[in-house]
Amino acid sequence: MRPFLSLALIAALPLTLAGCAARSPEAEEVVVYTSLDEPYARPVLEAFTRDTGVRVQPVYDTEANKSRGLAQRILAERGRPRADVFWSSEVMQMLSLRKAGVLQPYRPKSAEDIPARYRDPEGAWTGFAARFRVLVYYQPKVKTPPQSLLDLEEPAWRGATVMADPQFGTTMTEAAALFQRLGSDRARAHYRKRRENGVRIVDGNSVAAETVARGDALVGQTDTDDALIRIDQKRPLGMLFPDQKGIGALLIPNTAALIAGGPHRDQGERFLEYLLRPETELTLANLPSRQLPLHESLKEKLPEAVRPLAKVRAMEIDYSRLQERYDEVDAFLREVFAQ
Amino acid sequence: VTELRVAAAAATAAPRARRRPLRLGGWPGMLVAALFVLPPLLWLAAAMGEALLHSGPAVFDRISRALLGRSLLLAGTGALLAAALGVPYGWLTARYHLPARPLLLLASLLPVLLPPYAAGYAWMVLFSKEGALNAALLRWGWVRAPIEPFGSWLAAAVVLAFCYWPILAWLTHLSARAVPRSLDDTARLALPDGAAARWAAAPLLRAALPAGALLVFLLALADFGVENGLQVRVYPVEIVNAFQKDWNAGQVARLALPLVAAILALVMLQLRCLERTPVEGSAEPVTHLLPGALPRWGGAAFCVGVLAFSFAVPFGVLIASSLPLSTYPEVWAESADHFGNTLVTAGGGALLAVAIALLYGWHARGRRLAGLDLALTLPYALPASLIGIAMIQLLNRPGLPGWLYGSLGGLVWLYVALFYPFAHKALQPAWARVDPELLDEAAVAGAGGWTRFGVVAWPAVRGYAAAGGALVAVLSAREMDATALLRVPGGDTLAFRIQDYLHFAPGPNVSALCVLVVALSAAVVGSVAAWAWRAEG
Repeated sequence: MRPFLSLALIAALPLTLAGCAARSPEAEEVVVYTSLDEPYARPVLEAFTRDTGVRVQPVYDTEANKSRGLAQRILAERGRPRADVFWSSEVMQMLSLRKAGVLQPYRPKSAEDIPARYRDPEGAWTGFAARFRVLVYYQPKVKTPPQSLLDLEEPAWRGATVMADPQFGTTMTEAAALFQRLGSDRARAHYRKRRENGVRIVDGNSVAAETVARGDALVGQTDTDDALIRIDQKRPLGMLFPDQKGIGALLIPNTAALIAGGPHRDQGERFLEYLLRPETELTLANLPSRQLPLHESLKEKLPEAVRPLAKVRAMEIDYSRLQERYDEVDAFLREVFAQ
Repeated sequence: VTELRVAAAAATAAPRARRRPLRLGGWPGMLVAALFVLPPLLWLAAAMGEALLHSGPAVFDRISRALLGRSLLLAGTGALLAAALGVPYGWLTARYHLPARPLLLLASLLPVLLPPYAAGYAWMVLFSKEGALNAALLRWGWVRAPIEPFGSWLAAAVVLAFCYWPILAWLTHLSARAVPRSLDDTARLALPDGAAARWAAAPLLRAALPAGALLVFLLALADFGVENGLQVRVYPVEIVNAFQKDWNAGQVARLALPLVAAILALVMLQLRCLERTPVEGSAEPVTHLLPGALPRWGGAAFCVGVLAFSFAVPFGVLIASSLPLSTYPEVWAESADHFGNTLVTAGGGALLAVAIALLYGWHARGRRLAGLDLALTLPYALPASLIGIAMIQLLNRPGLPGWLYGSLGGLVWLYVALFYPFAHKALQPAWARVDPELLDEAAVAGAGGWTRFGVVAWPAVRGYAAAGGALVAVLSAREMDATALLRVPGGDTLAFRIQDYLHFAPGPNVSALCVLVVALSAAVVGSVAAWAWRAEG
């Protein structure tokens, strides 16, 4: 029996060591689930640890499952929450979590200066550092790019457009915004026509931008960060803000919230205060992703890199009501884009 | 103990002379193995049973049929191509006087060090639309449009064939070397040398080749990384996507049911074939090598060509595309934690899997429970994401499971559940080398269990244990799809990082990470080989 016991002990050792390696009870830590691209989120998380001594244990989302994967994980873990803070790169999934009752209302003092329309009325979540939805086009072949999302329904763009799976991330938020702004019938017709027009669905906005930059599609929908990175790399990619003479381009803020029952409540609050400071918005504005600060106090002090974004005509959306049609939009998109 | 050591060494040197089943009860070892490996399988079985019983849309619907058809086509093509590369390679290195024959044989292990997704990424870089290769092909007029692997199941099958042909090469090689010399000599009395060699080896090859081809087929069927990178929609990719969308494990189990049913049947068949496959060569002197200048030089050229396309070219592309060298310090600064997590989880998984396999083997020598053996072997053939999903369902709950869910321990258990079959199968033939009479004598002489294990059994099985451990460590270090699902806060691994970057922004950092994973795998295999070499004298 001794070999059995000895080997059983050996067998138990790696599990124990691995468990201990991941959890040091003395260390202050906060678990942050974030769907912002890791290269842009990491500097903020590292700065927080440097400034406060609180270690951040991040879980980033994969590009293909933006926000939705993490939101679903938070819902699945609601019986025993593991995350303290959810930092989403968009709005829709945050609204789903709010509806499900897994967010802990908290009004960060550092975010009081952010306009009310970017915050949940009851303090469940706060928006900050926004990106725009944009159209990108392959410059060598597209001399007259479309000016509106609705232009992509036209036969001229048959088989030539690309977008991320609209069941995820900012592409989902864009769909919900179009349902709110255009009305259900027009929005449904738009997506049906896009499908009939052969829109290519890829895994994530960066893949959509990359597909256009490679010339595999002529026009694509993506976010400013994914477009600007490639333009900075001198790729043959043009970018424009759609519907400047119409409904405007969709502005999508990051959103952040405390998770109810998270294991490190105090550290979670500290992190949220840190994340929503004007200084953090400036950090995010100065990164290659160029996210537009929303603090009123920063309006006159915007970094050079994001000043053009402040002049873009933004779509008028009631963010806190985007969720109302979530189930309808989700079911419709599944039906139209099921592969 | 010294006398026992001498006797054990003698017994290990001539293991086949005295085999007999042992009468030890096997339950403790079997129980431990079952505790670690079976829970996710049981969860899957229950979820699928519920899917069958539940009245809802048909389980084998249009989407499942399309996915299964594409997955089977891809895996079948991959297996056929792997056979076309591996069988001649194995035969040539076994039976012909090739120049640098031992080196060619050793080099056939190199493609195994390259994770399939890294190979797929390298071919994507090589055939990038704006790349030099496509530009040259267009300039020479060899193609009318740039060749692109994106979205092509055939490209995925070719990449997988380049990764898995060594399995068929080694099984062919071992079968050819296992032919008794006397049989070979007798055949040559009536047939020319080449025909005699083929005739004598035919019975062994008939067992080995289906086993090898089925193994490659199953590995290709379960592969996620290559298809995910190339954006080919097959079952393993859709399982991950479907789960990420809603985290509805029951729905995913329902989606995967047709695939799992097919895999179960194929694994049973594969195990039957594998049992009849020689893996240790012949007890007689090995057969002589065949002469001939054409096979000698032509064969060598073929082998070098296969190695070039399956390792040198993709690895070279990875190195070239990871330059400048300053990429490496940058990647290291970003990924040192991920590297540490990979070491802890892959190393822990390998140690645990080998310890369990030793425990199982020690208690179960001479005994086989076919059903348990099948269940313990099954996970290698399933899409890893299914095991990952099952583990999430098992661990995402209060108490000890919840502690594991939030720590690297969960990943260690995941890797054990996924890759235990490799430790299990690697150690299975080793127990035949342990002399049961010597064990009995040691027991009569008063040696305790640990002494009997350490002095009699361990010298006979340690080489197999090391090989199994290295295999589990390498496979764990590169595991991608299940790791991406069972995320641990602050516990991301190198493979996960590669997967994320592949979608987000492929570039020099992805290539450098792939090179790091290959280097890690080479270091593990090299260290274990060096240790085994020293231990075996």
